Formats: sequence, C-alpha cells, structure tokens
Amino acid sequence: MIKFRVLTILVVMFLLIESSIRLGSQLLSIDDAHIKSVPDLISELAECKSPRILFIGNSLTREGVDLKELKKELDIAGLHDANIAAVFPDDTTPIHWQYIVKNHVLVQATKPDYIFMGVAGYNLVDTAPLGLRKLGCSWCKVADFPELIRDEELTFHEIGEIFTSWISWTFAKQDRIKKYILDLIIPNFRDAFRRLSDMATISNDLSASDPTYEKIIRYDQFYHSNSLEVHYLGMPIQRGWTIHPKLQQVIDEGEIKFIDMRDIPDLGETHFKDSIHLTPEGARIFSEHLAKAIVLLSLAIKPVD
Amino acid sequence: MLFNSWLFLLFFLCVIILYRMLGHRSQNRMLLIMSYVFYGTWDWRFLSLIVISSIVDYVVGQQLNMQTGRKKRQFLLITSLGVNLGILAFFKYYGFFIDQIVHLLSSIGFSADLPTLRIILPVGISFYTFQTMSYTVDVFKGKTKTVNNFLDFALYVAFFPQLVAGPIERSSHFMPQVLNPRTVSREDFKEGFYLVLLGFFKKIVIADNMAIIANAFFNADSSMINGAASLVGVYAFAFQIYGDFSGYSAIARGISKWLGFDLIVNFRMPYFAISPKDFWSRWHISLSTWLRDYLYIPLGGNKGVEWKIYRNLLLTMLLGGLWHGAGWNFIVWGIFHGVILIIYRLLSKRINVDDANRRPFFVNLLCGTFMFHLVCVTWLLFRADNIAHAWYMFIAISTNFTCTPLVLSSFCMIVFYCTPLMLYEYWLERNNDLLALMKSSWKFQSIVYVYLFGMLLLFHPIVTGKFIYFQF
Repeated sequence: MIKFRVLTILVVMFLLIESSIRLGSQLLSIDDAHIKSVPDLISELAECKSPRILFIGNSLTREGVDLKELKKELDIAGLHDANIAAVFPDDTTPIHWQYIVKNHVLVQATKPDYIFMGVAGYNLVDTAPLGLRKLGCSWCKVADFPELIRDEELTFHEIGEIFTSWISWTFAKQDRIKKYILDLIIPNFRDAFRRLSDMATISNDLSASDPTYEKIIRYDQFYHSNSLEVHYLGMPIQRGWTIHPKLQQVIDEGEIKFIDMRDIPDLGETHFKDSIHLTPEGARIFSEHLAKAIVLLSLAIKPVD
Repeated sequence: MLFNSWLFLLFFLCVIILYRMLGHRSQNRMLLIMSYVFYGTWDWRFLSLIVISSIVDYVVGQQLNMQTGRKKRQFLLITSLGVNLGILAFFKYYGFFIDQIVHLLSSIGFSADLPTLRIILPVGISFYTFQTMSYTVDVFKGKTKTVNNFLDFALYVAFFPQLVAGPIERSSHFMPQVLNPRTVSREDFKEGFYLVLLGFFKKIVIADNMAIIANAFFNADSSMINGAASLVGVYAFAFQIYGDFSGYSAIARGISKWLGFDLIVNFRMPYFAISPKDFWSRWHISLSTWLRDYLYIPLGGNKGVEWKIYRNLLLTMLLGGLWHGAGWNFIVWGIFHGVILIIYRLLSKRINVDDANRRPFFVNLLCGTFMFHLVCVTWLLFRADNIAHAWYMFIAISTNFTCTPLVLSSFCMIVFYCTPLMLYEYWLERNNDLLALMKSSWKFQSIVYVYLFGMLLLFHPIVTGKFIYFQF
C-alpha cells in the first residue's frame, strides 16, 4: 500500500513536470516560443508573392540578420517587395534544417525562391553535434526516425535518446531547464559551466582531426531533388574562421552553394557582443552587405514562380 | 555495455524475461551465457581469460578436494595463484615494469631494447581474478566447499552484474545462491528498485557532473591552477569517484536483487569515517576485506611485535595501491594509506580514535572532517597525471589560495549536487541502517524518490562517462 502511494506520487510528479514543460516552455524561453511559431512563419511566407526569401539557421542568423534593414536594402538595390521570413532555433545545425525543410517547407503549396542557411565552419563538418534531443522533440516526425537512424548511422544509445526525446519533452529540454535553474542558484553559472566544459575537453579538440563534409553534400542533394536552391551563408564570427581545404573542394566542385560573408570590411570587434554573435549595429551592417549579395544572386537565378 | 546505456536496458529486459520463464538450473545456464555476452560486448577476445581462470580454479578446486598430501595441495594452490597472478601481471603490470627497467638502465648509462608490448587492459581483470583466487584459497583452507559443477562455478566467476567492477564476492557467500533455487519477493523487488535508482543518481547526477569540474581542474594548464582551484578540483574528484564506484555497486546489487541474488555491501557512508581503519571498513569493503583475509592476516596481521604489524599494514596497502593500477601514483597512494593507518594506530595507544559513540558530536565532526581531507590528499595522488602533478597541486593548495569567480561557481555546483546526498547519508548513518528508507513513512519515501527521479531527469549531463573502476 505504502509503495503504491509512493509510486503514484512519482508518476503524478512526472506527469505534472512533463505537462508544464509542454504547455509552458514557450513562456519561459524565447527560443521555445520561436520553435512553436516556425510552422506559421513558413506557411505565411508560402502565402506571399514572389520573391520569397527564407533564412534558416541558428543564433548566428538570429543575431546576424536584421530583417527590416535587409528588406530596406533589397528595395534600394532593386529587389522590390521581397517577402522574408527567418527561422533560427538555438543550437541547430544543417541536419535540423533539413528536417525543417522536409516537414514544414515542402508541405507548402509554394516554395521559397531563395533559401539561405547561415553557418560557421564547425556547423558544416560531419562531426557537428547531431542534437538528437532537438530532432526528436521538435523537428522530426516519428515517420522520419527510420530514415534518420539509417542515414546518420545512429548507435543504439542514440536511438534510445531520440525516442525518449520524442516521448518526454522534459528529457529533451533538460539541458535548458537545468541551466535555467542553476542560473538562479549559482553565481555566474553559465559562463563558469562553459569554461569548465572547454577546460575538461581540451584533449578531445575536434579541430585537430581531419574533417569530412559528406553529410552536407547529402543534404544538398535532398534539396536539389525537391527543386530547392539552398545557399549556405558563411557568417562572420569575432575570431574568424577558415575554410578547410576539403570544404573548399566541396564548394569548388559545386556540391554546395556557398556565399562567403565571413569578412565584412565594415565590421570591427565592437560589432560583436560576444565571441560569436553580432550586435544590432553589426547585424545592420551585415544585412546591408547581405542585401547586395542577394541582389547579385537574384540576377543569376530566376525565381521558381 | 554500460549500466547507464539503452543497450543495457534492452539486454537486461531480455535477461529478466528469460529468467522468469526458466527453471532454476536453466536460469543458471542462461545467466552464464548472458554474462559472457555482456563481457563480450567489451572485447570478446578477453572472454578467453575468464574461461581460462574459471577452468584452472575449477580443476584446482576439484583436485584440492581429492588430494590429502600437504605438498600436493600446496603445489595445486601455487599453480592456481601462478596462473591467475601471471595473467594479471602480464596484462596489467608488464608494460609498467618494463618501462621502469628501461628507465633504470638508461639512468645508469645502459641502453636497453626490451620488448614493450602495447597490451590492452582487459576490463575488470583485477576483480574477477581476485574473486576466483579467493575460491581456491578458501578451498585450500577448508573454509568453503568445492563446487562440483563447472557451469555453476563459471557463473560465480562471470556473473554479469558484478563482473567488471565488483563487489568481489566470496564463494562461501555467492555459491549457495547459485546452487539453491532463488525467489524474488516483493521486498527484494522494492529493495532492488531503491538500489538501482540510488545507484543511477550517484553515477549520473553526482559522478558525471563532478567529472566536469574535476576534469577541468586536473586537465588545466598548471599556470591556470591556483590553490583554490586545486582544492575544488580535488573535492569534485572525491565525490566523482565515490558517486561513480558506489553507484556502480548499488546498481549491481539492485539488479542482482531482481535476479534473486544478494551481493555484499561494498560502501557504507565512507566520508563519515573518523579514522583510516574506519574508512576502510566503509570504502570498497569487498576489496579491503579481501586484502585483510588473504594478505594482511597471512602476513601476520596485528599479531606479533609492533614493527611487524606496521610492515604488514604498509605491504597490504602498497599492494592495494598496485591492485588499482600500474603507476607510481597508485603505489604512493597505497603507501600513503599505509602510513596514515600506522600513524592512527600509534595514536590509538594514547587516545581512542575509533570509538565515536563515547565522544561529543563536535569532536566527531572534527575527526570526520580531518579524515575526509586526508582521504582527499590520497585522491589527489590517485587522479593526478603523475606524482609531480599531484605535488604541484598540493603545494598550490598550501601557498596560493585565491578564490576566482570560476572557482566559486564550481564550489557552488559541488554544494548543490552533493549536499543533499551527504545529508541523506548522515540520516542513514544516524539510523545505522542502509535500508532505513524502506522502513520510513510513505511521505518521506515520496520526497526522496521524487528528488532522486527529478534530479536524474533534469540534472544529468548530456554526455555520460564510463565507470572509473572499469579500468582496474
């Protein structure tokens, strides 16, 4: 009898936490609110007239692309009445974007004329984190799991992780909840945790290994087979990043379309709010240059409609 | 296959379903096969070592039962010890000793070209070797009965919950459980559930979170580490290794309970110890009692003249250090434990250092805190890359103590994760019962279970680590 009560309380507590996360996570997190709005953003864009431009990325895109400035500059540069939408969930990589395209863009009657994906070099390597919990909880449907397991050659442990994330949002969003709570309790937690993680993994520096870029080619083949033109935007970050010779070869051979926006002459150190993300002024300057690049591109590519 | 993996969950589901369907003898056969499968997932090649150990000790046990001549029996015992220690020495210590010989020869001007093999250390070799050796010694001494069925004996050597990191079981405790039909009562199931949940909490919440802090400060460049950082790194490692190893033992005991087996208790609130003797009666109990029964007592134990007792203590702890690994830091770790055992033994002639019941709480608190810090010094030796690294961190603690924001945050993390566990263990200590929770009110049980489950769900690191003691 006693055990049954304890078990009941345990189950009730779990269900309470789970339902709170499912119902209220967008109230606590701007990113979760954005994730929830993604289907609407994309369907609204699909209802607009050409030219339709869709940005997909992570915080680099969120902080780097100033949509109002971009629209204004596009108008000035001659690409009038452009309709722009941007999807930029935190800590996502090209694999998440592939499923955003698959499950939200391709289901629309009309497709964007241009899709731009904002990246830094570490997003493009095959060893980029898969972010399985985000895939399981936000971006993949259950029907996508067999394909994901096959294509990404997931281990049994990873399969367990993705299924659990699909079942439990608490599990999937655990890292965010943990950081949120510890931010309240422990002084300077987020910065300390990042520094500790960096120090703890010094010996496992991925940059020392030989990178490969097969996945990004595969994703591009998927877009191509669905008549989508995706351009990867090389985003600026404060410390800069170099294009690995193997990535350069992939670009040169036309396996992916890459617009190099890493070095914007007007951007200085003061235009970054941390080591990676642009300030609003930095985003304005970047968007000015981005508009010119898009207009040049629009002259070369005929819109889908 | 780690306990904290989805693969193990699937594996154990298969085991438990098959177990419930089979009769007693078939259960034993199935458990043996599954134990070999479990070990084979680490490296199937090393299964042969377990099989060799099992065959040798089974045959020696049988022969010991038949032979009555003292010399023949001694020969059989030496054969068994030779094979087991030979396997252990080759796989665990060969590289270390060859390196030391080459180093020694080069330091006196000789260039030696000795074969340095790159030998992979088989997982859990020290655990199952010690377990199987204890059987032969016990049969030799007449303390346990000979096992007459090889497959039953093989299960004793390879039982998967405790195969790779203990507890090191004695045949006198384990074999009757293999030979007789087992039942799993509701109480066993509840106890198993409690132990598994507590074990996962200790491993995933405590050990894996502490590993981030310990690894950061132990891996960091010397120039970045001051005294406060070193101390926090050592505290983090103290809780990491405790959570890791006692967590494994708790899970092993819990899943064994679900299979009807009762494994020995391996940890009993070790950080509440008030003396080294008390610590070793609480930490890795199966190893410390093994060393006591098969090394310390045969050496003479605490009988005879005083200097011989000190020698016995020192030798036992030195070999205890070597058991953990082939490296100077483990040797010094063992010697340090031996030395503090000797010092406390000397002190105990003037004051009663072990009787906590006769002293006020405040004095016990001081003794416990001092003992915890002595143990932390030994963990510094245990975790550091080498002796020089340990020495550098030790000196930094005593000379350069500046608390940076990073150190403060790290310390707060240790407090956040470890304080509830220590408070809970203090409650267990006061109740003098490891299963006190099972006898408490449903409200208190609910609070503890919700806390354990909630922490597991919300505060696990994204990447979980392997168990530290697998390398031994």
